[in-house]
Amino acid sequence: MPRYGMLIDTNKCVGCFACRVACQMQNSLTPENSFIRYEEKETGKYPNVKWKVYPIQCHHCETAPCAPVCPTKARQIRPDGVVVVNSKKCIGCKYCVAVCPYQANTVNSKTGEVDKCRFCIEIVEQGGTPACVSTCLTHARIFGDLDDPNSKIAKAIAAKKPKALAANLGTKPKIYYVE
Amino acid sequence: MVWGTLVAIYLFMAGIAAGTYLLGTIIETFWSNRGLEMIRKYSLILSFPLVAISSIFLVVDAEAGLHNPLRLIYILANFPNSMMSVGTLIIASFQIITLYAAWRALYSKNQSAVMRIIGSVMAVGLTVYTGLLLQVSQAIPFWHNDILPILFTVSGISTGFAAAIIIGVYADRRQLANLMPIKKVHILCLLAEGLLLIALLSNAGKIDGGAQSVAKLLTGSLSPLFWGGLVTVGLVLPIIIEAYELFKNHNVIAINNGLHPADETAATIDSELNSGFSLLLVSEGAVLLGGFILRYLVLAAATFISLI
Repeated sequence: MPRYGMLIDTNKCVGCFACRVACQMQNSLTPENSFIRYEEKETGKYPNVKWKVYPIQCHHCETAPCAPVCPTKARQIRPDGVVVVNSKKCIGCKYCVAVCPYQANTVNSKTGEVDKCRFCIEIVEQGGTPACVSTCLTHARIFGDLDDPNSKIAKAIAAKKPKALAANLGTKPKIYYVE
Repeated sequence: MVWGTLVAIYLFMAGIAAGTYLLGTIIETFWSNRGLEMIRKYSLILSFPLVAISSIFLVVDAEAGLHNPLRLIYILANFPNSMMSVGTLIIASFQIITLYAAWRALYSKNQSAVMRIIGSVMAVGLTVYTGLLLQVSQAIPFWHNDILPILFTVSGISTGFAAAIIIGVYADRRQLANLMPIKKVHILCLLAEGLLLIALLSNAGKIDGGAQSVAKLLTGSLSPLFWGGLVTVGLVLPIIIEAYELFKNHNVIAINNGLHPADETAATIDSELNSGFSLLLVSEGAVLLGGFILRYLVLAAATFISLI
């Protein structure tokens, strides 16, 4: 059984936001809903400054805090580690929104259902890669099986020593950032 | 804001429902001969509609459930893992208990001892739950604070007492003279609330994310509501009025014990009772307003942890 994860190289990301557009297209989202949001960070002192963009979406935490709080069990963690939402069970209580450190959930403006990234699992199961990964201009994103030592992502993690965001909370997120 | 005014109303009303039930049950059990019959009756009758209406606000806020009511049958699916499922069960069983209590009170009968114990445990459980619901979130440090459930419990009792006093005294002004035992507990609740609030803010102020919430409240966008609404109207004003009344009541008792002016007519007593009711309406109304503002502010001050 694979254990899916993602690596995002913030040194390669140019902040073009194409991943968000591709994601919205893939998931037929309205303009006000998206599964990807961005945070920015400035470092250094003038004139030697750096501006970095961090694309943020569901981190598919191994001990995802959103799953145990969901009263209807609409949130489930699949055996391959992907956290999915059964929107037919979602009542829109927004408890998952309140406990997610990554603010990765979005409340559908039409239905009130809460939804989020699911690593485009239907494409992945057909052998493809998530829309945000395949659309990325600079190949800043790598997706794959974290447990397969020969996978591109496992090698990249070993080589680049990326870090996880808010790792101190112990939710074991599966998106890694190269800084 | 993850949760807004609708959830604030829900937390507020659930707190009052628990507080009125507790007051009614306390009077029934410990203060049955103190001339507080109307307050007992109306606080027990009030509790059921309050908890029932509060849960409507919760459902209205959960929009997807509102559009697809059948989905609500899943809401207990994650008991006891999800605090939301736990809370739903508490609210549902508390509605049954309060309905029973209201029925007994309507026919001027007492609840059975067993129901009083179960009901009181559930009432405290309900207010603790309204705080625990938020306390669970590690993502929002201001909420992830053990003081929050205690603060909501004390505030629930305090607002419940306020609501019960207003309705009970409105129904029978003469009870104004018998409020001493309630007022003593009430002023202790208000003082405790102030201390708990200080403890909550100083705890949260020390941690990343929590400090931003505290800044929002003390000096930021929420500061007018915090200082004007919660601190001044919700705490300082009622504490001053209640302290003044307790002090005055001591004097009245002293007068009654020997120096009661014989020429006091029924008309002057009546006008005294009416002015007493007006003052009570101000102080207890302020407590209620403060209770709502407290919950609104706790929800509005939520700030997520910083990631990068």
